[in-house]
Amino acid sequence: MPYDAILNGLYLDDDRVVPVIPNITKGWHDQNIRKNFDKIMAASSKKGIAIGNLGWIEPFVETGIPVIGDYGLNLFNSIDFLLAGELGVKEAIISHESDPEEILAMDFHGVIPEVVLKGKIPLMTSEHFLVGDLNLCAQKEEWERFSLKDRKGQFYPILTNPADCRSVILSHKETNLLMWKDDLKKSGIKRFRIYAE
Amino acid sequence: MQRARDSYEGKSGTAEKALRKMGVSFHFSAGLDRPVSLKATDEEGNSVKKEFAEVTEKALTKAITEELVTAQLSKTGGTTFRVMACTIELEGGISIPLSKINELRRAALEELEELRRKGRRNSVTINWSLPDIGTKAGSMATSKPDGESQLEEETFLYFYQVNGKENIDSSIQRI
Repeated sequence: MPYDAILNGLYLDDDRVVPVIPNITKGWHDQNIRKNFDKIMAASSKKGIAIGNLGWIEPFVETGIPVIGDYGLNLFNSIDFLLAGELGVKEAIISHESDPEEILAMDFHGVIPEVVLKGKIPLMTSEHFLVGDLNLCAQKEEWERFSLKDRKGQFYPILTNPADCRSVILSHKETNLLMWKDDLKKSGIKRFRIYAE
Repeated sequence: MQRARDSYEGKSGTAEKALRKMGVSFHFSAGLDRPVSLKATDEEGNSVKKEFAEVTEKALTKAITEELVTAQLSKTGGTTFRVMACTIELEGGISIPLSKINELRRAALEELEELRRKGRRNSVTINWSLPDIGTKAGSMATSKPDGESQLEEETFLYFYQVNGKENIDSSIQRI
């Protein structure tokens, strides 16, 4: 769950909450994280914190909070997991670019792996405020209506964060690895992720 | 943070560029009855020593000075090093070709660079062997996370955005 939503009081009492530090934190986010570091630590104390950029891993590892490597780290092979473990990451999601057979062949070097099972995976974060081009800054209820359309006519949903006006572009289709779940479990993988709509 | 930003934006000047280089300290020694030697030590403690045995002569007109030696040793442009310190141990009244000092410097820095490269290569031991996956289900003997047998299965529900009105299944352990 976005850490800034938790700082704003959403789901504060839910002990299942894992704050997520975004993949790109320059500017407003960096200042906000620094300013509220203790509060984020407190919110992370039960279930850990998910971090998608290298810069914030060390400060949180040093606090002793379990750090979960988010998709921004793009860990797609055994060596990546070795290095993530050396940075102090306890758990990490495997790159969305890895297919199940590649996942089954990976050595995680002690880092607890997580696999995305279902949902529309994030493809990229854009610094560009796409909806702003349409002069819809003030009409937040309109933001969710927009997608990018490629030359094949496929639609890629755009999510815009009102806090920093960045856009996350999601995949046009839903990932579904449910048929692989048993094989993944047999191989020792016990953490799964579902991207919520 | 500002320094990192400036560097990223290409605004950094000579001082910033110098910061990215590895510092090196030189100890130069020369005398009539001993070899000319140069010891180079970098910030990580890597050290090399180079020597020329027969290049010193008694100066007939102009003797080599500490300033001249320091000037030759400071020419590290185009290398990954920047000079932090020079100590010169020089017998008076001798002559050394400046080209020989330059040659010593180049040889020392090249060897130091090679030493650092080897050090970097050896600093991380990687087990390149991959597990024998056997079947599709995988027999990931070495892939299992530490304490895997104690791990309970968990499912995360990942929200890109929340508004407090999400309908979250109570069986979801982490959100």
